[in-house]
Amino acid sequence: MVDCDRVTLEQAAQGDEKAFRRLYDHYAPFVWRIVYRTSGSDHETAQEIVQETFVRIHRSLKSFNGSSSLGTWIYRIAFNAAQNFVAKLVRYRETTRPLADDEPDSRFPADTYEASEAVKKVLDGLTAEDRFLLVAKEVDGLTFEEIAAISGKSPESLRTRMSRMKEKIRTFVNGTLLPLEATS
Amino acid sequence: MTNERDFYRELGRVPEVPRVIYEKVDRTVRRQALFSRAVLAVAALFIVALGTTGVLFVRKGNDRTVSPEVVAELQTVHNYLAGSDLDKEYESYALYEVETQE
Repeated sequence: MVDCDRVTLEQAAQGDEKAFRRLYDHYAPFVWRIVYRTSGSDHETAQEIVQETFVRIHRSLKSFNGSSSLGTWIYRIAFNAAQNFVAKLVRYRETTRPLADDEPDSRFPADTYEASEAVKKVLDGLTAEDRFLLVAKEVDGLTFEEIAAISGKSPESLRTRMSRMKEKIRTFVNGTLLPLEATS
Repeated sequence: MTNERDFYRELGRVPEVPRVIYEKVDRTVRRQALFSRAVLAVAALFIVALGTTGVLFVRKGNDRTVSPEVVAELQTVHNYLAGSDLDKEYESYALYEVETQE
């Protein structure tokens, strides 16, 4: 995880719009990826969460005290926002009927639909924390220590969870189609 | 879906960050900044208004002096209302009666 330079951070905290734009460009792709996958791959929802995340970041930049790296701090805000959203969504789904969503996603070409559906099914069976862990580790290559700093869990417990999760994914993609459950 | 590698490749495949996000962030940040400036301006205006009307300056009681005539007049009114001048009045009437009898 490569952090933005100190000067950009200080300038952005002073209200420099160009510096904030540089900061956004640096972190937005990762935040977007994490939020997109954690929030259930919903485009509109992910947009709202990322937007909210960066508005919060802008508001809190002056109070960032450097006790963790800037990246960790930003990802923690994004992670919390996504987790809050998922919790709300779960509550909502418990009180209303589930949305029928069997139509192929038009954003993906037909040949990748099967793969994207498999990813969707796997992610649907995971908690927000596990989704975050999976994407941060397997897609963005964060270390367990970095993920631990963001999520507030110990690196050891994350390792264990990851190992169990990968085992279940392996079973799933090998065709046994066992329902995935939260690994915690 | 053939193997795990396909799965993880697909997991990493997400749409590009929509451009509209930064525009919305920028708009929200500007609106919030404008709002806080407006609130500050109203607060400043309020303080200035209070200052000019003297509400903010607490005056001590002995900062002001009242003329002896006003004090005497107020005392008279107070005595009348409290009835503490009755004895004196009785005396005046008594003296008047004595004087008229003589």
